Amino acid sequence: MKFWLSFFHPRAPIFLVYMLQQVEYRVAGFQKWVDVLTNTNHPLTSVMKRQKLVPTTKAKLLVGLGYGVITLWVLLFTVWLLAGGTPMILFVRVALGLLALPVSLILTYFLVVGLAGLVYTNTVERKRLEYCREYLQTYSGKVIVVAGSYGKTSMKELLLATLSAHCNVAATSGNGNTPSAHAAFIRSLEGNEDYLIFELGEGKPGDVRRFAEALRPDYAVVTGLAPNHLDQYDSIDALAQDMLSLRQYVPANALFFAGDSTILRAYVASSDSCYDEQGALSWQVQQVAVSTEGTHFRLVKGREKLDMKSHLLGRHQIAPIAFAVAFALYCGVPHQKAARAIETVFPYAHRMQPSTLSGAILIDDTYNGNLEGMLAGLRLLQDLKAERKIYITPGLVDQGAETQRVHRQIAEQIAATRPDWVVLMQNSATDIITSELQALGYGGKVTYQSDALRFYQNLSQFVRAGDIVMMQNDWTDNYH
Amino acid sequence: MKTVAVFFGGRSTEHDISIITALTSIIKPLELTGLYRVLPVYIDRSGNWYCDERLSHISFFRSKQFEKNLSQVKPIGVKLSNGLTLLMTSRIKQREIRVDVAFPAMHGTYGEDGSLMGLLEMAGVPYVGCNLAASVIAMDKVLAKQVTQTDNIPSTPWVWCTAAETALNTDTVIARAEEQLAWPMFVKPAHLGSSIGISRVTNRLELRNALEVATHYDDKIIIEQGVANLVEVTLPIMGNEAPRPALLERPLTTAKDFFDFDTKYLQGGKKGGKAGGKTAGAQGYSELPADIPKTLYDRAIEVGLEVYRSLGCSGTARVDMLIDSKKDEIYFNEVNPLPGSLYAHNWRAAGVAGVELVEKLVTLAEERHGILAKRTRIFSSSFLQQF
Repeated sequence: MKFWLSFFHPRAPIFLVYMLQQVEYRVAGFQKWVDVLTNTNHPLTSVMKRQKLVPTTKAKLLVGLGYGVITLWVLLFTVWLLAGGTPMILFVRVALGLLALPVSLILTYFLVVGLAGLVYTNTVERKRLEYCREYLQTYSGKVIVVAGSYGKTSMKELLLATLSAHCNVAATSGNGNTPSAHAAFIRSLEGNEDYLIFELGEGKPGDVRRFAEALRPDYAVVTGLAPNHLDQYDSIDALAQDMLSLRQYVPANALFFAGDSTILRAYVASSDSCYDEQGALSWQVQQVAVSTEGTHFRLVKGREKLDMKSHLLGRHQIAPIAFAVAFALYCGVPHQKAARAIETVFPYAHRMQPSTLSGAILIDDTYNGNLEGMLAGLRLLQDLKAERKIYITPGLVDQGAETQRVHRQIAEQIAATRPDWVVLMQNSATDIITSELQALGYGGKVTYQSDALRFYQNLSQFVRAGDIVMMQNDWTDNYH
Repeated sequence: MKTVAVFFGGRSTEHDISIITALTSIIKPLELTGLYRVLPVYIDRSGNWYCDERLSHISFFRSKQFEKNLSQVKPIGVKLSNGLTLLMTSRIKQREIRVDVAFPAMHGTYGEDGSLMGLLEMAGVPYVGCNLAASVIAMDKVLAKQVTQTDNIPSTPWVWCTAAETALNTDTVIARAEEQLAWPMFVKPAHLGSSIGISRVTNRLELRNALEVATHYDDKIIIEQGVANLVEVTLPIMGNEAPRPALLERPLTTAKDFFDFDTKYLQGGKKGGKAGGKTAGAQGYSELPADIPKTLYDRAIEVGLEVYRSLGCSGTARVDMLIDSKKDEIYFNEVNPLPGSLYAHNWRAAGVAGVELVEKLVTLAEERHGILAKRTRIFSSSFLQQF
């Protein structure tokens, strides 16, 4: 009842458009969120906890549409009531009229966003891809694409750093990996670049294939596979097949796979070129040292040695760093330039990003959203020395049928890491992690937070000098 | 769930500082432990007592409508029989809330000076921090030096006088100071903290003026000899029978540039910008831990603990010391029985998180109360039969 009554809140359209914005205007995601709110009896006013509505043009139009619907409803409702009738008829009119508002708003947004999505996919997105294809048909530089369930942005930025040390390189900015982002990127080019690096998104089935078909890459890197976005793809296999469609567009010796990804390895042939923690492109990794200040190691090939000093944290960074450097060397970048370039790459916001708080070291990995990343973060915590280790997580979203298995695996790694204190944000995954920790005999302290935002905002009260705190993943407002 | 009442505000020049101590370093972490029901009990400058959930938020006190908002909160009563009970009245009925543990956060007069502790001891409720006796002694700079002197804890040379004596014959006071002390001297109200009414003086005229200033604030004045090659340090300590020190901290000042109230609280520390890029502590910038030779550091810790024991402190307190860095001599300066913001920043650096600090202090309060409760204080006698 609270949910339906909240449609009469003056800001109801703003809350609804915020929900749409958070699920990237996907009808399925919006519907799922509406279901959660109705099932848990939460009002619309409860949705905007972590962020605010970003006032993009699209958002403003949709909010305007919502108020338009409300205005129309007010007019029609008034006219209907003024038509008069017996008390019983009036009662029925009032009841139906009141119900009409929430139904109208929800249906309007479903229809508009759904149709717009279809139109976008079939027209706008197609046009953007066509634009990219036409531009690149006559382009003289080399095109590199980066695909994968995780680590794409990191790999793109590493390749940009190492190749830029000697060549003219441009890359899509931030984590822009949609046709619109690619088209905007192309429009920004000067046309004399040696290399272009594109990050490919996998928002819906067939995305990677469509991108590959438009961009016709010279090189491709697949950074790993994880059970993400399984609310879009039916299965891991469907996701893998989309990634592997790159084989049709890129020569075998120009296609590189992350060998550390256990799921991806199942789809990779022995003849495929892989990179991992042991090395890349005939370069071997030696003398690894991990700390809160970064990851250091040496690349060796025959008599050649290159010392890597990266500000990125964790052993899982070794493979992409090694590949980025080895690939740059393959492309003719002088050795020392490629190695020094790594020092210019710093952790990205909320991705294994170190900072200090009240004398404690925080590693903020709250934008991590995949199993491999979670496991990598836990292994990093295991590697580091601290007076007290604290691990904070709500678990992972969007795991679909894999939810049980994934969270049991997370719990296994937590038990192996043995932090002194585990803080679990209360949600649908908590029980899975808790029961697995109990089964494994984990002896550390486990506490539960029902208000994640309040906990993060007051984290300084919980930590002290000598602590290392790993915060992984943060459930956005649309997950419970 | 235990009910912990946090008392703050009060009829004191440090009223506003008390609000910050209570809200940021006590109420918030107590709530975050999830172990207590926390009641904010605010005492306004006129001495009216209030208890309302709204008083847990700084926005209430910073609002331009503060007076109006406060007038909408009903003052409470207090019952002291068999414990401490807060009496809250509404239009419909009166509610009584029994307090399991009291957490004083009232700096200065009518709070930290033992007034509140006396009330709480009368009520027989466990309370956090120094007890009545230690609070009274610690808040009187003269008494504190007299007590520590008997335990052979060194202080810089000092004399004291009353406001009445100063009013009657300032010259006698000045002569006594000149006879026993060297310039520069520091003139301080004996009972105030937060550097209020303090003057540094280098000649008779300045001393005369400083005495007049100090007597505006207090009826007892202490005059202390300054320390050459000065290094000021402070040490938060926590515990009852087995006190534990935090880290020795050095506020970044020079002998010429001591903290007055504005510098300490309003400008974020040292005048003219930060020094050394060190920690911004509760009272501005400081070196944490103090960067002094290890032997001197360890001795300062020992002196601090000796002072804590000598004054009978319990719960928590902060000991300020002065070091002559050339002679390696450590002098006891003063004790703060209720450190501002509990000096939580120092405890964090020493390995005690905010939530752990308040939880530990509550536990210490209950332990002390438990021990005292076992003491026999009441016994029957036939004394009255004689009359």
